[in-house]
Amino acid sequence: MKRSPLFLALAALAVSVIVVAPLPFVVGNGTMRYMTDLFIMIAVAQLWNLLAGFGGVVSIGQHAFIGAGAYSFFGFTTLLGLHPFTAMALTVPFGALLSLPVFTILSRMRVAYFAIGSWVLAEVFLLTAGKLPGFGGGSGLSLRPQIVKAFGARTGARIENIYWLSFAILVLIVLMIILVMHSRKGYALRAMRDNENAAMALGVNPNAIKMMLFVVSGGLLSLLGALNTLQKLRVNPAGSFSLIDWTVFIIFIVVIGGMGRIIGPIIGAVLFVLLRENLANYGPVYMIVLGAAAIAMMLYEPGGLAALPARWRKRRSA
Amino acid sequence: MELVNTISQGVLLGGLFALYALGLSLVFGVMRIVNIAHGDLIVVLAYIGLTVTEFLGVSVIVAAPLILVVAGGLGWVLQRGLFEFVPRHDPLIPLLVAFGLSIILQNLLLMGYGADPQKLSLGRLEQASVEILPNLHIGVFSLIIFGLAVAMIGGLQLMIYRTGFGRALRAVSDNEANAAMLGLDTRAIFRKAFVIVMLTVAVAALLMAIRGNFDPASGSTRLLTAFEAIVIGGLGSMWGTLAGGVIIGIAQMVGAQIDASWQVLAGHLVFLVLLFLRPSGLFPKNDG
Repeated sequence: MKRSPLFLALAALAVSVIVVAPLPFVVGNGTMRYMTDLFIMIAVAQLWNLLAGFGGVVSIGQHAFIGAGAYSFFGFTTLLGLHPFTAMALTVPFGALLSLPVFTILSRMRVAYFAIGSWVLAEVFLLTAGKLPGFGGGSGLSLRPQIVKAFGARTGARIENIYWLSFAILVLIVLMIILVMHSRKGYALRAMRDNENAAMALGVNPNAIKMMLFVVSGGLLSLLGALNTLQKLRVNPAGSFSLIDWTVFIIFIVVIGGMGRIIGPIIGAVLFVLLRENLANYGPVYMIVLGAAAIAMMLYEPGGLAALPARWRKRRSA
Repeated sequence: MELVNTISQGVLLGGLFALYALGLSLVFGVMRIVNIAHGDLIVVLAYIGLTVTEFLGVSVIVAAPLILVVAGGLGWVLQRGLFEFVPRHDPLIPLLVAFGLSIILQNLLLMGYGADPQKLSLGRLEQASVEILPNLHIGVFSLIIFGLAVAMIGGLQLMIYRTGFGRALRAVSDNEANAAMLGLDTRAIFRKAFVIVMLTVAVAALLMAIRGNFDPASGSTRLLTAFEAIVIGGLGSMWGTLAGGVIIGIAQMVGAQIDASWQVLAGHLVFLVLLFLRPSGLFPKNDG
């Protein structure tokens, strides 16, 4: 019996939850921290893919929202004295609200220049963060220990809790993308991605859909930025708004793994982490290899590694 | 008098920004590629300038013709060896290819030259100044930069609107398929266009390298200011780009007067305000 794609995607997600969720009972703290980083990276990549791969909106400034999440989490907890859980939840509406004016300004530019425009805005965020009073200027500040301890008094328990929290957020993001892509909105999105004019003729409003995607990803990226702050234990402009970590690497992960497919960012992120283990000592060489791989992928198969099996199958049957 | 001085510095700095922008604007206008690597190409040429002058042991002025030849060759190679193979039906693909190129170039420079800031020297001319009004001194080198910007924009305008090659360029830019049908060799036109782009990049790079320090990571700020100048001026209008560059230049200089850390931020903020008020730029082109 042939199952629907929606059923298969949900089944795959359920299986990965069953496999990954109990891992803290088996693996050590180092591995857990490592995997937490991987979850956050995959989640950020999923959101970039949601915008670019599904929505056709290329941003080079998504690190703006990671940083905004980190800074708002720090502000809510340290400066306003909110409970860390409340503060973390509030980063979502904060990021979503922030992304509204950002999108309004950027959408005034013709599509092709949206990318560089988003980068300018991210620079503005970074430079402004360095000037905010109470956040330690250019060198930043550390999170107070009691904020971190709200997530677990002992180090081991904390690492476990943050592992589960990050994994839960990743699963929810993937679930949301799966459900959206198999809904009416998702089909409208694909129509728009393939041919914007034709989609408009069929009653799809591309700008409204793009704005919705941008706002949703802005809110969720802020949440991921707050989570990442729990890993890094401090905020500072260069680290919290890192172009390399949250935009350059993320774009490479999605482009190499497979744009426009949910599995793409997962393949890309796992490969990225494995490559990093072996090549990180080479610094610039690692970056050159990533850049060259991304270019080669774009030229050979814009659908990334995830699209290769289907491509080869087609070639064999042809 | 302080303010007049600041503004005149900003105006002259705007000429350099316009020079950064010319190549970016041409690549987008002719090939419809948003070249994210444009700033890095400027920095690459600055390093090539450094190597050539050091190797030959001559001044930049003497070495400039050779550097221009190298730049033109590099443009041909980039188009022939990379961009020619990039499908352009989906703007995402060239954008991401250029993004990859940008990271590759930055890291090649890092491997070859290290992260230390570098500078080209032009001797006494760098410090020379003229008094154009009582108490208003203008650097001779700044005037040269602005003069070269005006001359290059004028030259490119003449080339685009008064020569056969310019006509071909406009035809390809309007509609590539139709231009090919009319018998134009679009591949050759694109290659020549990229050679011209890299010549503008070389001029901008040498002036930048004489004016101040640069390092392998300097490309992104050049890309962003170039982009802002183009958008403020209105896409496709080269004099508009000069006006846009001047506006960013003034904003940066006024910002720097408040505090050095405000220089770059002030430029970005003025850009965002203008983008909001005039989304199609100060001198929009109807044919877009």
